[in-house]
Amino acid sequence: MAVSPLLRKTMVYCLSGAVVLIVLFIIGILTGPSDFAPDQLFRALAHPQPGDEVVRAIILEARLPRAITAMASGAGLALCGLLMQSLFRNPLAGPSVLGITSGASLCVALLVLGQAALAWPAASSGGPAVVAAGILGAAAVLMLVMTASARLGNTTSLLLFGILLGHFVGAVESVLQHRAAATSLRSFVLWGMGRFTETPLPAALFLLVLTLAAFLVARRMAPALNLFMLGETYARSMGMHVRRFRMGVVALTGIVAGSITAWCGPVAFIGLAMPHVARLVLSTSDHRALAWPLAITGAAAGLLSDLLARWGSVPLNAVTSLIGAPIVILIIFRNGSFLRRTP
Amino acid sequence: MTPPLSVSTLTAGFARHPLLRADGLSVPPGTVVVLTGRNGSGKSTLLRTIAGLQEPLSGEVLLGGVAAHTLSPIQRALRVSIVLTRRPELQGLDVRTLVGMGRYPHHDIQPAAGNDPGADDALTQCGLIGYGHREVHTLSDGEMQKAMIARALYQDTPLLLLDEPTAFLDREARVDMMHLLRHLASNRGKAILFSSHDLEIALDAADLQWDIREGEVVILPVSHRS
Repeated sequence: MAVSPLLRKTMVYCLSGAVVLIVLFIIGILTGPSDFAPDQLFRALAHPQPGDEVVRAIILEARLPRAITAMASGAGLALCGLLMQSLFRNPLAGPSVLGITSGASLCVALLVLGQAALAWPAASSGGPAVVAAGILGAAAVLMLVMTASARLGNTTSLLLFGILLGHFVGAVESVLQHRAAATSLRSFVLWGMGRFTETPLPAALFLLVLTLAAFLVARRMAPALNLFMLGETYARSMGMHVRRFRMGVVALTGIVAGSITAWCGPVAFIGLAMPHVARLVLSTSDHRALAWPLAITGAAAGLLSDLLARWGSVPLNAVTSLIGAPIVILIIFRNGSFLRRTP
Repeated sequence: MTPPLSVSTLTAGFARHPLLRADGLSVPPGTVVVLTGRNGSGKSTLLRTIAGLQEPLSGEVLLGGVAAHTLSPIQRALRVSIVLTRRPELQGLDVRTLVGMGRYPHHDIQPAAGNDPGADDALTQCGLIGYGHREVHTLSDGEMQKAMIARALYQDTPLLLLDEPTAFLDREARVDMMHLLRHLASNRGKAILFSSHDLEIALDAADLQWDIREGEVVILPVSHRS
């Protein structure tokens, strides 16, 4: 059977993407405040000699978890972006649109900024309390969105609901920030800038497994996601259980984006921009073809943003926004008709 | 033989605003029925109700002899397919993939970018030979409407509904569309129900006319066919 052009393109994309990914991963492991040579790394991990403990500790406790987190989060957020864009049939939707990151953000703000006012024992940035607060917030908003989704039924209202929720949460946060003590404000602001550094190895591995599982589920949903591109009426007429589908997408996005945000903060633009990159390069919107290339693109974007943030000593969100926003603007100009489509 | 569609004592519309009553209607295989009526008379509502996209207020829609409301979405999608007036706005999708979506209720959708002989066959039936690799957004309105029909054809249902399939087409494309519907009924045994404002062209293809008059569906014979 002849290999079709799209399949060949997808395979080339995945293979070259995987090479880039591996290179970025190795650079991420080897470079940092102290650079290692590859053989030094290999020896420290495979045949540790006395004196290699420091190298081992740096690799296993800092760089490896950081690189894994960057990969998993990049891929996970990219998937959430694709799912949201397909669900809302809106190219400007992203994981933050449903208010899930806002919800996580609010709970972290309440914890970090509230502890000073209420004289709670200090919770360190990235500590378990902050992570729990992030997941809790994301889960709470997820419940809210799911209820709203069942009630509202149509995606435009749901999109508006998410945006308004985000604004509301932003307002509450600014009130909290205004009244917060300087030290707690600092740790909250740092979380809000995004980072892949505060994830211990087990948490990083959890994010990796979660993201992989999410991609497997999304790949299975690909035919339904494709159908939904024709609009709700056509999707229903072809036998799709639209309400169940919508709930499934919302749940998947909520769990993935909520977990990532809890550890890494509200990372901007990767989720919004990466699906466009994959669609543009493969010139297809077919979800069956997009899923795995998107995983690799997102993972590479996460790693690259982390490296750039490290080298430039700037916050992660500064990097993702500096690169992500122009990509999205470019795509809007290239493809203006995307925005003119009727729901 | 049970007709793909029959309707008995049906009231369709919205809870506080019933639009029409229909009784004793049926569409046998190989028959083309044109549904006419003024704007707002409930043509789309009737089609949506038959397709199961809207609940009937009372009465029953029978699809192949089975009450529609007892069918699961998949089961329903195996009995009735629909083509809407407006073309969906799609980017980055080729025609073959679009047509391939019709297989969704059959659970045998081809893997991404694979060959799909069934989709090509449906395209051939609809006069779109060699269109498989075309990007959907480059199609004219007439071609797009045919591609959507090919998708419905590939869904492989005894009953095909079309809501004003010629609304955005020029005269030539409208005549062409009517030939296609006639062909699908006569040669593929489809039961076809479509709504139209363009009676002159529509009656050319139709075996029967259902006209909505003051909230009542009236069956009119079409004289030219014997």
